[in-house]
Amino acid sequence: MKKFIMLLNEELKRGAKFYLIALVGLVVLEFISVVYEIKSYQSNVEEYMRVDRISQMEAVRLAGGPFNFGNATSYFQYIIAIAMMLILLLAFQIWYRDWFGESKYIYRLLMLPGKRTAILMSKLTAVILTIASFIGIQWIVLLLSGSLFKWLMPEDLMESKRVFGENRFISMFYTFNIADTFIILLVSTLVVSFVFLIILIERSYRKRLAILHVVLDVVLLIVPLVGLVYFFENTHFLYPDQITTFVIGYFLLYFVYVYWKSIRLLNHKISI
Amino acid sequence: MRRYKHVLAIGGLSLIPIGSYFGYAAMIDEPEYVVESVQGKATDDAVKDLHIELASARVKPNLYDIKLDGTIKVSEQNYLTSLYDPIDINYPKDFYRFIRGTNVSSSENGTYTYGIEMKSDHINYQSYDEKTKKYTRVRFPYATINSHQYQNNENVFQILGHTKEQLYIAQNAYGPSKDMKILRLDIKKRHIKEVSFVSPPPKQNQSRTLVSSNEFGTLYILETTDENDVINKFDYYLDNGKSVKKIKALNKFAYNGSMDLISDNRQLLLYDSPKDQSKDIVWRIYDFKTDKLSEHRVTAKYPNQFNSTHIFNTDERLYQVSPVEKSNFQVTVINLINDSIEYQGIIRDKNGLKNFNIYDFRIGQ
Repeated sequence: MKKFIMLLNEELKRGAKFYLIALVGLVVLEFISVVYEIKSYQSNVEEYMRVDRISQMEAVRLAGGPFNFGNATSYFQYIIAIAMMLILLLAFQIWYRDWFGESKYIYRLLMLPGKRTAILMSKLTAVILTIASFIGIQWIVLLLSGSLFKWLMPEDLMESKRVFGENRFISMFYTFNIADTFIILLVSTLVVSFVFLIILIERSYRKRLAILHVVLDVVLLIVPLVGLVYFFENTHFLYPDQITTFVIGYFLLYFVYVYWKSIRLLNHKISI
Repeated sequence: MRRYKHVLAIGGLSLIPIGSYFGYAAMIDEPEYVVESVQGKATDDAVKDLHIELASARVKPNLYDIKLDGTIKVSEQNYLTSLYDPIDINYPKDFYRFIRGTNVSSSENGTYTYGIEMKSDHINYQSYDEKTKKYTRVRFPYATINSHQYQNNENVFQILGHTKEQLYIAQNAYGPSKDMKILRLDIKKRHIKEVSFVSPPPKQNQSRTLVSSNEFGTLYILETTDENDVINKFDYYLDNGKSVKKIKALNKFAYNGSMDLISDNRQLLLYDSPKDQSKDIVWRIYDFKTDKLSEHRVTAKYPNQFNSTHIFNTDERLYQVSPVEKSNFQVTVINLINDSIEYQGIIRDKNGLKNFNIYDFRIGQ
């Protein structure tokens, strides 16, 4: 455990610059986007009033109706998509920096006494902590953006003061059911684990063999699953709910396999 | 501790805001429903298996399955539960397999679900009653030539009426009218008889919608449209196999309401969502034998809410649930045999939360 926490701390320390730049950049971008959207809407309304010499009510109608928090945060979906891409990038970077960095840090890692599982788990936990902190910080940004929206937006141009439920994309992440947050984190863990497996395969085998392994692992995920679901649906052998349970069970089993293979590659295939 | 400062910093940055989000989610008010029976008891046969499902249109969409005895089951609607559909699981496995078959037409009528499959020399019929859990399977010898080519799973049969022993169906109900046949399936005798239908096929500017079929004939609606495709004529006809007569009494009823056969297929129950905010619940019954339409009315405790009432019927009863005041729901069960309110109760939210809607309203387990 001590080795794991030590390694985790090391991983976070090594990625701190990347993390801070990404976090500050995304937060600043979100606040700027809220201010930009509000100011742009206000200037549109004023422009309509000035050019067309119409009432504010008429100008609001021409500008697409009163403004709500969903409109003010319409850029958030792109910024969240950028964050997702950065997480994927981090999943690759957290391994490759150890191989391609100047100090060849991976050799020190692999030579550490004890099981190599701690290396995999520390890297995985570092990425998951980054995801969790992004979700958490996004929540704080959402609350602050709500206050910013209420402060900057004149009430007569505002559709409602509601902050939650106005932006469909954000509502997907903040459903107010605690289970959903854990499901999001679980799915993220599964995706990151799969990326880790691909990296470890690439580091373990020569080019052609590595591609073959990746293809086989993708086939193992997709072909039996699609085939069995097709069979169950056409023979009505299982109820739809049972098919859903089967699919969830298959995914979980597949990721047990992903972990098993990753640990196996790390312990037996990757050598100094 | 300083050795692990990065774990503590990023761990804190994750846990503190997520903890604040969880705290916020936990503080969102939940409704606290209680059922107050105004008339009748929650244990009465009419309502003991009645479920009223209420869903929140707010940020936290939980589902509240309420029984009138005060039993409330709260289902959290999350990403995992949304993958599951609880409906099909109630069917016996064989019945489920049958109605999911490629060439099986399935339909629901009250608490019954039917499945009908046409083979070259016979018809397979299966039904399941959600209320009594009765599962029926009958193979009817019947040869037919079907000139219309249907797609898989296309609903080629329409249920037009049913008694305990007989089922009236329209074969090729939605295809060309020359292919349409009305069949009477005698479930006890395992025999099919074709019901005579002498109405001429609809003209190009007309469309025919079958409503019901029973021992008195087949009732249908004939809509006539003008050159702009606007319906300008709307008539009910009864075809008794020898002649066709117009049922003027029914023309008074707004055509967007519901119509169901009751009283062993001899009467047609017509009802609609309330069109005013009075306390009256109104329904009409058309009697095939006397060719008369009668209006029936009871007075509920609270005024109707325009267009938001949910209604369904069984043979003997009309069930109605409607939102009243800001956060309460009124449940009324009317006995159609003696025109009286058999049960009435209020589902009251002690916390008075708004934005809750009726999600489902059914009899079942």
